[in-house]
Amino acid sequence: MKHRYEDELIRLAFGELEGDAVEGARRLLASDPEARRVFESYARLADGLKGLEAPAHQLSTERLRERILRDGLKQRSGVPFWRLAWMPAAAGLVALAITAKLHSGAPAVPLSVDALPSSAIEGPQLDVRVPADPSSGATEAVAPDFSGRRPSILAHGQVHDTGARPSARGARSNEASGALAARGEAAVKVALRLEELEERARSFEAAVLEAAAGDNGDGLVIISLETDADTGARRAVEVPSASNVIVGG
Amino acid sequence: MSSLAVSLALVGAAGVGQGLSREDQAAWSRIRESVVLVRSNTAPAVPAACIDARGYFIVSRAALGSSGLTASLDSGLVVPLVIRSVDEVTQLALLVPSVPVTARFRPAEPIRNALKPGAKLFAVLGDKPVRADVASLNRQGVVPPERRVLPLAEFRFEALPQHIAGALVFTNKGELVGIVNATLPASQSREKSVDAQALSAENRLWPPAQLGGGAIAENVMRQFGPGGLTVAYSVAPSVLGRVIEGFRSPTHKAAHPTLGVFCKDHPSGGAEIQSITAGSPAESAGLQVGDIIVGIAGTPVRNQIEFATVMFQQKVGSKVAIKVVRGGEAVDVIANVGSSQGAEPY
Repeated sequence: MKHRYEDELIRLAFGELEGDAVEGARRLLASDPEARRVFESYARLADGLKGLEAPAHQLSTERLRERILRDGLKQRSGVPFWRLAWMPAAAGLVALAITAKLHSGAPAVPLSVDALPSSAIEGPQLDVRVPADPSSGATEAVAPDFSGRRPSILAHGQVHDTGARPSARGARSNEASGALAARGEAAVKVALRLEELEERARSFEAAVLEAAAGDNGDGLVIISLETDADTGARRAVEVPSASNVIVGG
Repeated sequence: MSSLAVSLALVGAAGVGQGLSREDQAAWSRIRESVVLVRSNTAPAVPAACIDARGYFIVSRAALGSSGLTASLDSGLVVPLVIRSVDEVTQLALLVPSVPVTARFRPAEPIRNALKPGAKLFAVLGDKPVRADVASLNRQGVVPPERRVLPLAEFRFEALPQHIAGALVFTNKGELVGIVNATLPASQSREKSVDAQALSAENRLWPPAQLGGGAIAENVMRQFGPGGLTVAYSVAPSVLGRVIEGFRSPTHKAAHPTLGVFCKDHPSGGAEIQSITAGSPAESAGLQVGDIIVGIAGTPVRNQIEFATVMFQQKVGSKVAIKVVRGGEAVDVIANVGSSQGAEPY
């Protein structure tokens, strides 16, 4: 999902969107499973913020929300090395599958990604060819189906046994290896995307915690014209948000 | 200056008692020479700080009565005072004798150096001095009626509530740090109070036996024992210094920079102009109601507080560049920085 949608989803989760923007966001949620997933993630965080127990003058969910919306998510500080291990591990799997296919002629074991949520898959630009008729050795293009934001090549059961025969073995092996490589690439992308989403969620939570920790109650002080009955001085009130406070300048 | 020529009523009976440290005694001696207790027909007595040897006193306007203002000197002389000037932005007032007075006064100087949060201070509450702490010197506050956004100093001290309005806060060198304008309601002050056990002995009320006539009765002190802190606000020392400088000037007015606009935040960011004062620099510069100020003096403006904060830092008489969004298009405006209260009002 494109990042620009996330701001709208955050605002929707925190009840910030109004009017047509709400309808637009709802349509996005209806058509985009990933948007739903991200929205639900932010909605849970928003609920968590509302549930924070702290003195009103020290910690305001509204103030936290404003700070988060103002500062946004923190930049990723880099991916730990162990997360990069997905790449060589997946590449290794692909290599193993190709090797097995080339040497045994046995059908390659499809890499099932059904276990992964389809919403996490961002459609890769695939142009994969598989045999239309295993006996003919001809190929036809498998048009990636992005309507569901999920390429058809990744659907379980859509990868056929190539039925390789010795005469066409080399060519079909190349084709099969291409399909497997693409599948592996998609799997890697899925895994990295999941990692990225998790990292973003962690960053968001870290931003929330940082906002809470850094909030020392130093909100704006509004001094009224009223006199405090106890002290005889003007009454001061700390407010967590300056929204709609009219000031002179 | 014969600063000792006048002993003010506030401290006349407050002899230095036993038990005070030499440092505290010296500090109180310096402070008391600059403070007078102002009485009126309409409000409780309030302390005022001398800022000029001619007999100029600065005081909280909010705590001051409206008529029958007098200061009683320990010589028995009762000096009638009048309000010479009121700074609407800070709600501080200048009092001067309404009759010629031969007595000389010791003016207090506003603090010039940076004061660190947590520094130990003396607060004069009514006719009683207590130790005070400064919690912050950089709070942002909106002060009526001008609704300017000012830097505030936040003080905390233990005191009888009825003595807090207009309290003066000094350093132990006799430098004026603040004049209490407002207090948090008791409920919020309690939330901000610290554990009684965490208070050091220096933070507590001075024992009455050490102060003499002006001290709080011991039973009352116990009643307001450690933990009952009051949170009070004054304009920050930088602003206080500006006002004192203005009160000492021939016009007796402080010059605060202004454009003559009132703003609120805009949902998409910036400060949206709600109204423009007729004849103001903003009107002269062509600013319009509905304009969204998104930058001033090269500083991006995300909301009305940022605009007002930057605006208050401008110099009266200078020009300031303002970037606004009008009808969806960016417009650059150059405006003169005026002064609504100063010597050259717009």
